[in-house]
Amino acid sequence: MSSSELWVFFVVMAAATFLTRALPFIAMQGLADRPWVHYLGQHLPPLLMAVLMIYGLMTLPFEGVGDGLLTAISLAVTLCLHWVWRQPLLSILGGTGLYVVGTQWRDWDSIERLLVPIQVMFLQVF
Amino acid sequence: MTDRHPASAAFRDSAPVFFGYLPLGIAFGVLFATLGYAWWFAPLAGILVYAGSAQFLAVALIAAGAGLVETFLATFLLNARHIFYGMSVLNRYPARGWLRWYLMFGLTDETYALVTSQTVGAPGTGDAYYGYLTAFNQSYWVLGCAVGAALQSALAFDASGFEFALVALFAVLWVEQLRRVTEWKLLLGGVGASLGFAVWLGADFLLPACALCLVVTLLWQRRAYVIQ
Repeated sequence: MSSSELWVFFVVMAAATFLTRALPFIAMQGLADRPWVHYLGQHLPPLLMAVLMIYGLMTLPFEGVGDGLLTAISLAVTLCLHWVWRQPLLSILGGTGLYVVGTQWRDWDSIERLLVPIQVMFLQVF
Repeated sequence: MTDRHPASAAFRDSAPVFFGYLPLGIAFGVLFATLGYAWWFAPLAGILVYAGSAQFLAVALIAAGAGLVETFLATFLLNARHIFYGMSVLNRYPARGWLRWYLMFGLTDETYALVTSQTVGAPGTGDAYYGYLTAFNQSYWVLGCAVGAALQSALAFDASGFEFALVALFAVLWVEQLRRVTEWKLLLGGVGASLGFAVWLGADFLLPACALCLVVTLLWQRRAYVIQ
């Protein structure tokens, strides 16, 4: 995508977003009390959010058991943090932080580097 | 307090949103900058689009080279919850004028939460107050987007793994919605079918799965209606 295509992309996204926010003010005043509109408002969002979560998961790398395990643990931590504490920032930063640490520290060189001071301490004690 | 200035009242009331929007905006900015575009596109998105979850989705859509129709529909469905926000603030917002359009544009989840936490017609909650509130909130978001993207462009630190923020954001919104779920069979069926679509169609499953959820929910509502 070139820079000018990116402009178009954001304008399209802006139009779609504005439409969702402006629709009730422009056209929905007569629809607001229809039962099916209420029903959609109540029951559709958790379905769509699950779809979007799956979409987000599919953008992550899945090249082995490690990837899948890291993703599953990070997702479980995010869900549990939010279920218990209900602080969006804590849940998002907690889950994402865990995933970032897991992704960046998984190469063995850096894990060995982390282990060196522990080895040194170990040798000094014994 | 009847004598407080709308701007200072809005500034004080918007403080919690500052602490929410700034880090989330920074996360978006960092993630966006990894795509390799000029850093100022991130605050531009905050000014033009001004929708947190849609902007995070944008990073995934841009990386996947998604088409404009897909982008429009996915954004519309993602933000469709705002339709129901608008319905419940119709009686608060001014009936005409440019401010009405700006307030409609800026009706994010957090702004909606702040606006509806004020009693209708309470002292100091007129059009000016809502205007300042919306503008303060958007300025925090744009600031976060700019800081994140500028930081990442300048320092180019290892941002691998940041893409999980999109999943985490949707997971948080999902948990909030799960607390209110009453139709568990509908939810399980819809999520199961969407997972099936995801396995079957890969990354192209987004639109079919959203459409399926819409149809299934409407059919489920008809069924409930017939049984009654």
